[in-house]
Amino acid sequence: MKTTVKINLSGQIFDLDNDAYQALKDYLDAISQRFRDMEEGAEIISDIESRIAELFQSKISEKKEVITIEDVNDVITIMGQPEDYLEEESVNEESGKSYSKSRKSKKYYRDGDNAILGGVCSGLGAYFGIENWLMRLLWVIFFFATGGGPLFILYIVLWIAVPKAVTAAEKLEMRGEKVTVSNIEKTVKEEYETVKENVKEGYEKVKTSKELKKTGNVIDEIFHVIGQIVLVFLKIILVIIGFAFIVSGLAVLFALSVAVFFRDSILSTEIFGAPIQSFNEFFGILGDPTSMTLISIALFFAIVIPLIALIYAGIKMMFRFKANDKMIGLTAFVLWILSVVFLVTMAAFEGWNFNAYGRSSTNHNLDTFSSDTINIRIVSDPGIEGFNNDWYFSYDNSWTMISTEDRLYGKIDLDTAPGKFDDYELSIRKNSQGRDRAQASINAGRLDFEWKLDENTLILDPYFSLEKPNKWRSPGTKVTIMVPPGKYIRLDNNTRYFLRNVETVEDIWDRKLAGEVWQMTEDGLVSVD
Amino acid sequence: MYYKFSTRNADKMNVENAKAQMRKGILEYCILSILSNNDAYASDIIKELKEARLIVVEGTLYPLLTRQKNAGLLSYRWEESTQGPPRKYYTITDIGHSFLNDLHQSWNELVSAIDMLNKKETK
Repeated sequence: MKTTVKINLSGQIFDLDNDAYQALKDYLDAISQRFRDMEEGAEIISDIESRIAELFQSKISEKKEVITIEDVNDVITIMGQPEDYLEEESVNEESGKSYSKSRKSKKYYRDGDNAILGGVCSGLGAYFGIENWLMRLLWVIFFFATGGGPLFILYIVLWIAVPKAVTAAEKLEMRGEKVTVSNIEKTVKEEYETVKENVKEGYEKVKTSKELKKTGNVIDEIFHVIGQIVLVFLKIILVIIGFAFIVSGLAVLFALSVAVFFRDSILSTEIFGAPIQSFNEFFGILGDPTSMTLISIALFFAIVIPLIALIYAGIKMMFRFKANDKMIGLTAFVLWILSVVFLVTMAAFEGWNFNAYGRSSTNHNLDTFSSDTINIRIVSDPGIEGFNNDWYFSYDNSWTMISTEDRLYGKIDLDTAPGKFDDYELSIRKNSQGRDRAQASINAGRLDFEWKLDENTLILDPYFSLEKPNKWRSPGTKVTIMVPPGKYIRLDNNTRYFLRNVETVEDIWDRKLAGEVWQMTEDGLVSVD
Repeated sequence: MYYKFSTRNADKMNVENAKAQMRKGILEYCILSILSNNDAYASDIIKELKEARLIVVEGTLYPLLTRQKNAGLLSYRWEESTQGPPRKYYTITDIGHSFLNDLHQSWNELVSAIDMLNKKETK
């Protein structure tokens, strides 16, 4: 007694002995192994299967319903082992005279024959059918446009990941047709034809099979056709996504490099309200050069690694090349994690510099002064590079900074208060932040503020300043004029944008105080009228 | 890249290669030639080739047919079969005809060239 297995071969049902089934399965596996990587592989396999079904059909009769191992061996002898026609296939590929269109299997390889460094550019040139020097020129332009670093890394990544074209077949695969409108049209047409043919073939098979009532096969065919259509769409979508990846990756790299490396660039970055022209400068204000360099490097990796991965993924989607990129991907990932961890640590460390508040106050008795009224005026032209009028109008004084070659400048706050003595007084309160209270007070003491008394007029600088390389620790300076109650103060028009929280009896908005004369009372300023 | 093959002794693999290439070319020629007389099923073509002792195993034929079809030399239609599944019925196309003519011509040239060489040697 023997058990049998029921199989469906090309839409026909056969009963096979168990050993016969095993032998047939091994044989068909070997065949599909041989052909599955080829473009027309599926079709060849199905042709061979249907021929085997035909041969089986001749082996069975009403008396003999089951296919035996002898039958299978007979059929295999007739059909031949895949190795028996293997060498012809290899000849076919080696000679490069394959009928299958070489353009379809076009792949991106590095071109070792025309390489200057790694053949990355010449490989791309070969792929697009562009002259090598033009490809290199493009690469060099992008290299400088993105500040050098990112594209250098991308080049190294491609050098390692993309295989070099070694065999004649690979060299043929590497060389593509020129990218022209008519070629693109041709590609689309060919993809369309493939789908159409598959649909037609599937439909006719469905039609003929229907008459034979082999429903299992019909459903298989329908799914096959749907699969083919989906595959083509996926391919097209993949290329579009890949292209988008490359373009967006390069654009972000370009924008970042402009922001980082070029002062007065088209993308001027307004960080403190006033223009601080580059990130470099921004970092220079915040911390010491060594740790800021380290942070910059870590920041570079943290930003650029994902971008390069994006561009690389895009290139891979568009060009479908084989790559040994596992190691380099893992390395990049680890480097990225390290960078992020380092960044967080350093940010916490640097942030500690803003832990405590401190201040440094001085009072100046203006006793040389004898009138009942004091005029307050701000130096109208501060004479600082990078200064613009917006600076005056800014409300949030603690974020209004100008950075020049050797100093940082911040906007002062101006206030008035009833004095405790008979003389006018000038109170200057500087404040800053620091690692601890003492350090914060020292930082505050480093702020400079200039003023002078010219007869009845007190002339104030609009800014306080900090000599570099002292760092920005959220500094501020509040200048308060102490007016003895009953005496007068005249605020010049140009003090308008510096007055802040001035106490008045009638609760008048700070900016309306400028340009008028006021009398001091215990409760604040009152209008003279 | 072929200079690589001609350096040093032509080893066994290259001889095999050359033979296989020759046989494959002739097989393609024969397939077109058979189809130029009559449309045929794959099994008919196999029968003729086997009679002419051009192929030993049938599996060889299917990749060739598919390639020629994809190259536009052949086309096929599905035909019902009294026994078994529907079968592909191959026809030679116009491109196939002109390709066959080219092959005829170069075949004749080759035959006469080899005849001439052989005659010289036997003299």
